[in-house]
Amino acid sequence: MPSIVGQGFLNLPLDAREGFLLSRIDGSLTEAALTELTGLDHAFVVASLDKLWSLGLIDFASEDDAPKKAAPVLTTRAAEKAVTSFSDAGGDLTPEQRIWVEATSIELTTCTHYELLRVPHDADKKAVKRAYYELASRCHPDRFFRKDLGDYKLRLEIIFGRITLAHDTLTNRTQREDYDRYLADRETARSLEHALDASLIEDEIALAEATVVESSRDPGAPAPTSIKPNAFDSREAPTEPRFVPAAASSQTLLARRLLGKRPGSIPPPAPVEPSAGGTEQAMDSLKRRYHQRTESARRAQAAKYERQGEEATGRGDLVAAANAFRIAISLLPDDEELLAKQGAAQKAADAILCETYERQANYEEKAANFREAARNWCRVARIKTADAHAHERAANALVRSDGDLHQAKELGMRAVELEPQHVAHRVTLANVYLAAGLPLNAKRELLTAKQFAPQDATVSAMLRRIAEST
Amino acid sequence: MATDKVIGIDLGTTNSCVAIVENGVPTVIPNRGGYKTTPSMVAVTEAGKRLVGHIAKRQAITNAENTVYAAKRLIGRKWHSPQVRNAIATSSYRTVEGPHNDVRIVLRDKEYSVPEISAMVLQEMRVIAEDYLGAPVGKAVITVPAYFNDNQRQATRDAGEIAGLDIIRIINEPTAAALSYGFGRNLEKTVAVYDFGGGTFDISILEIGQNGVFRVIATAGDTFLGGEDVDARLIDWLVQEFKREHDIDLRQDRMALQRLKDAAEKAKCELSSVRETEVNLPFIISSERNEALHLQKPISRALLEQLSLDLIERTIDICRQTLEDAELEKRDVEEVLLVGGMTRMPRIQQAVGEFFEREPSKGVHPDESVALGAAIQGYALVGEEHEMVLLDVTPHALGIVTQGGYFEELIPQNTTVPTHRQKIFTTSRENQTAVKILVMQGEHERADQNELLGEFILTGLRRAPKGEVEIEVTFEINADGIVSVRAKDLDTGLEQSIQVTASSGLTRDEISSMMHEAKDQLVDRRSSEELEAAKQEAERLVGEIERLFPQVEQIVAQSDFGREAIDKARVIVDRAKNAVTRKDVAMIKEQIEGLARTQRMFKGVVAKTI
Repeated sequence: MPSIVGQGFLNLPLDAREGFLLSRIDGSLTEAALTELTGLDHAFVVASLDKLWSLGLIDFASEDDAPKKAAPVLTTRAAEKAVTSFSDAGGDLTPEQRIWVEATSIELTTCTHYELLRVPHDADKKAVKRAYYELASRCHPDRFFRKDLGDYKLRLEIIFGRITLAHDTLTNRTQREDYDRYLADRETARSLEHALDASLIEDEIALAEATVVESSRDPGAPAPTSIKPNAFDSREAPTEPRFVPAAASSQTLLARRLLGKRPGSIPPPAPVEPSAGGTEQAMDSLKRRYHQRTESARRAQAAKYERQGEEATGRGDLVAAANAFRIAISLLPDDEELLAKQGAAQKAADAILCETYERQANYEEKAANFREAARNWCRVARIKTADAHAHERAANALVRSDGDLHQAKELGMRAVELEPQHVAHRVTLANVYLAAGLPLNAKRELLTAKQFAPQDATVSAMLRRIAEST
Repeated sequence: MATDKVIGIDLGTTNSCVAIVENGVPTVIPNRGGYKTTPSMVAVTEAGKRLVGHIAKRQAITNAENTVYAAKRLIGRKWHSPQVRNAIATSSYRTVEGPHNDVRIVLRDKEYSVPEISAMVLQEMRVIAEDYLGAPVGKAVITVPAYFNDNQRQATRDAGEIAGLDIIRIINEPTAAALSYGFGRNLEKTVAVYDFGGGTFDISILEIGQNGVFRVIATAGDTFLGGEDVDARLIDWLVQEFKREHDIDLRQDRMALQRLKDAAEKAKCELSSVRETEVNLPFIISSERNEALHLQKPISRALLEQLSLDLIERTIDICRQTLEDAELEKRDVEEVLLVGGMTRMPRIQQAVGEFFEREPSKGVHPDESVALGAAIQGYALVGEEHEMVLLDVTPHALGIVTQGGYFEELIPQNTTVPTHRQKIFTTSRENQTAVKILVMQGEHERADQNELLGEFILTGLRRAPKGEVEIEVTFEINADGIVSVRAKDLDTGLEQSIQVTASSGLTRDEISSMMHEAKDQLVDRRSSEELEAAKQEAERLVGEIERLFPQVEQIVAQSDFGREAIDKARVIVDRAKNAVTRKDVAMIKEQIEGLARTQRMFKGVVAKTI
């Protein structure tokens, strides 16, 4: 484990699993390798790496000095950064003040306005103001009037600007509503992602299987009511499910023990009951009866999940519906009716998810937060594979946030492919090429665009610019 | 030994006030006359002597052409501005256009810039503080009307510098009043400060919170609306009445005008406590037939109110607008503070009370609270206790001029400082290779209606069709209120920036030479004070000795020893008289000891024989 223990590091907003991931980064492991090594969910690894990068703890190594985002290899520029920055000139600040500035500066990159001011979401205006005043009295530049602050001066001003923005947003009704809608979208997206998480379904499938086994083994025993009442109600999803894998419930653990395998597998043959004077016939009938019981239990279970799915559809909880149908299908893989139902529910759930991504992306674009906007447009594009606009916006946001140009190119090309006559898509793609230092490709794209719109000023202007610079 | 103490100065249009925080207690410092405020008046006598304060005010009538009042109305303004034209039309002193389109005031054939005149007042306030503290003072916080623009603020800063003060901060007058109201009281309240002074009107809405935080929510005002305007209404009325009766325009006579001014101000003040008063100016002017004419007019409170009603209405309109800007309801305002001399007027108290639907607070002193607040801010800035933090806002929007002479706002009015904002602009002409960034301040959509703060040119732009080159403009305001503007060509990365040092109308060189002159004046004045003291002491002793001479001579006539002593005493008295005529401070001081000894001896001789 790299030695990354220091005061600065200890103040970072990391949880144990992020810390674990950080400790595994050795500069040669790729994203995929890290996922495998840590056994963490891939999406979580990607998200965490982004977070670590935004905290300045890691960097993405480059084989040939290409832009750092292009190469997926990691290197630890590590927490020393946070630690060494402590020795920077801090002038007249006390060590406590420096630590506070360090920690808060890092927080700014990830936290919400509420988290920054340390107030609950339902905090009234007064509480927001109090929190703001508390912070403002600590970091207003007048507190350090004519003091030597070294490079902490700028950081303090940035912090003050951000807390002021947080205060101004949260104390203005319309702005707060907009911001809350944005946060709600973010939360909804996370909950949906969580609810649709395959590993969670795996556990539930295992549970269903276990129930089948249980009930077929002992016909007298009632089918365990092992499902948490709200396990599939995505509206009841935990508020902070971000990277938390499905908490293994005791029932699931029980199911695993019973199955003795990774969940989702076929149940083992039932143990043969040794009977003193047992005959083949007796065995056969026993087996037959067992299979019948299993089969009927399986159908009963599937029917139950199907019913749940329909109920969920009825109350509009499409995620729960999709999940319930998926479980039913795992029990009865050949049921076409079920497959159709599941497909419809899944599609609807994706559409909701997609909408929230889109709204988030729009808010972020407005707030000039292109990094986040790029991420959300990419998600939209992933779901709406035929939406040219989403692809174009994603490519554009990636360029504007110095993001992954390779990905931007793919997205831009897809947008052009979907709507070949749309000039804006080609302009965006040309911009991607220009950012990547490929003027010939850009020129080609623009020349094609010119055929569709000979009068377009932007296209002509860009072409002239390329001609001038080459 | 200079103290590290910071004084707070309320540099008012008609009166100024100085305060300091001593042992945690804010205190107003009285001047030598025992008054807590000092008239912001400056005069130069026939002998070339500078007079500041009460003494300048007293001689104003006889020396009207060389007495400056209300210099604050001119500070930081351009010669051609309507406000300056307006102010000059009614002033008794002479003004000329300065070398930088600024205003210069002519006193005894010498031109003074407006900051120089204000510096004389500031220097007076500094001396008042130094006398009180018994130590030199170097640092000060000065207040300005909240609605002052950056040019006016800078000119005030320059005045402080000319007066030899380190101006550690300029703060807004209504904010200062709120500081003095809330300091050390641990309140949580939203307050409105209605500040109607001699020359300006301001309204600020603040929130006083925990941890000694004072946050300005919104501020607005009119820098040309004050008690002076009310006086002017009264003068107009008196002039008209006089003209109707005698067909003589009193405005043509500067001395008469000055007397009218004084009388109008006095009548206005009196009418705050009585319902009727009289303006009585005998021998105000001579008629064509050379007979003396008198002005005698009773004035009622109702008349004054009628004359100033629209001015009061204007202040209420501004209050309404500010409340709207702050997105507050009347009932959100939990306290209304009245500041400035004009708020003594019962009609104003009534109007403010009616508008806010609550009785205004009596908790702050209308003349002193601003200086107290300035002292508190100074104390909080340099002190270690950090009992208070002021979160102030920009009173005016900041932006640049765009194609067609429009004003494009970057930082809106009432934005909490420090702050920074950026926007992307494009070129407006084909093949434009340079762009001129004009930094403006104001709220008008048309740029020429706003105040120009500074300008700079970003060159080396790529030749390109219009609208293609992108320029990112960043505005930044730091805690000291200093504005920096940066323009960056997003194509080439070329960057150009300025720190907007708003133009007060003076160059650096001018300021430093004025500063030295002001310093010399101070030394002059200090030594003359010393001379005056020594002279008085010597003359007192000489007088006493001479009074005793006949008696002593009589007593000691018999002895030779006595003759000698008397001769010696005569020599000492002669030397002292000589020194006094030569105004030689050192020599007078030398003689004082001998005089004192002689006086004691004489007294002793007389006492023994009686």
